[in-house]
Amino acid sequence: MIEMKIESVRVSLMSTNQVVILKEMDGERRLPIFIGKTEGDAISFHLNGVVVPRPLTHDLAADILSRLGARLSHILINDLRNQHFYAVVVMHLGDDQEQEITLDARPSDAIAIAVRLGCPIFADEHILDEAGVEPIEEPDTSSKEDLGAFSDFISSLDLSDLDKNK
Amino acid sequence: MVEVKVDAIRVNLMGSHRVVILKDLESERYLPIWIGQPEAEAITIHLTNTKVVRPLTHDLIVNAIRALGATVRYVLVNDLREETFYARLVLRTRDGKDLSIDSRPSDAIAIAVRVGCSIYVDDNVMAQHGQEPEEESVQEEAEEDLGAFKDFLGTLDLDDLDKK
Repeated sequence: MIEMKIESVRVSLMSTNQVVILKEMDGERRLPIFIGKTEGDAISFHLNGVVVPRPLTHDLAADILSRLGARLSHILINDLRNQHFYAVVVMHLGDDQEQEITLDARPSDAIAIAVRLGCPIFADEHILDEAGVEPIEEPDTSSKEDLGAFSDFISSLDLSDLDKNK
Repeated sequence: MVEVKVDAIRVNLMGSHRVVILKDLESERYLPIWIGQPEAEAITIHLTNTKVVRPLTHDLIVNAIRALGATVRYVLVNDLREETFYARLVLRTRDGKDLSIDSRPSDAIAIAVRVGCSIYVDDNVMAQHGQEPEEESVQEEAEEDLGAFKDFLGTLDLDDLDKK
């Protein structure tokens, strides 16, 4: 299990879907997951502190879990089949939290609940191997090229002049 | 408390909102409630037995309630303030205690249809905002529509039938 954090929630220009980008805590790999607009809003509203007049569906879900005495342990994105990601929400119940309960969920719902109840987000190693993407290292040449004209100008300066003006 | 059932979910042609129509089980009163599109879908997907590959948000909530040993006793649409309906989700915990949780009516109804519990509307809310179909106007309209046909019938000389 690899711990992930939410890097961003992005809008897709091609559809009404949104993309949540999870990033490895101890690495550079990202896991992009397409999610519905409602669930995307549910995640970003909460992270951005948007105040809603009435509880959204995931606020209700989080409220129900808390009121029923569940303690969220973590969520885990554990499968990818037919281009659908699968996740589980893992929680504990009971005074000594001995009883473990695992519920199937869509990653979007699991993440929207995780951000509300403040539990860690994990992805299975094989999911990252299969669907993780590493950012392409931008070669520094591009930035050097952009600065080319400026560098030339700098080198053409006779900095010994500076002293003379004083 | 007035017990109601989900009578229909209707599409508003002017916007993305939907209307859920709750019908009084014991009379012809209807309570229309505006709800969002995702919640309307959550209700219709279940009522039309549409199969989904992965649990939707309200399926997850129902699974969580059950896994935590609780049951949904009923849902109650209990208030309407500033054009917003309020509802309560009444749960019974595994210790036998009742919990009343604040909810939007749409979420409460989406959960109610999944667990098959009763849906109630507060007496005051139903009295103030329930609507009864205006039967008279419907009849008048129907008679008007038949007007031309009646005139035609009136002009017929039915005595001719016997002669043939």
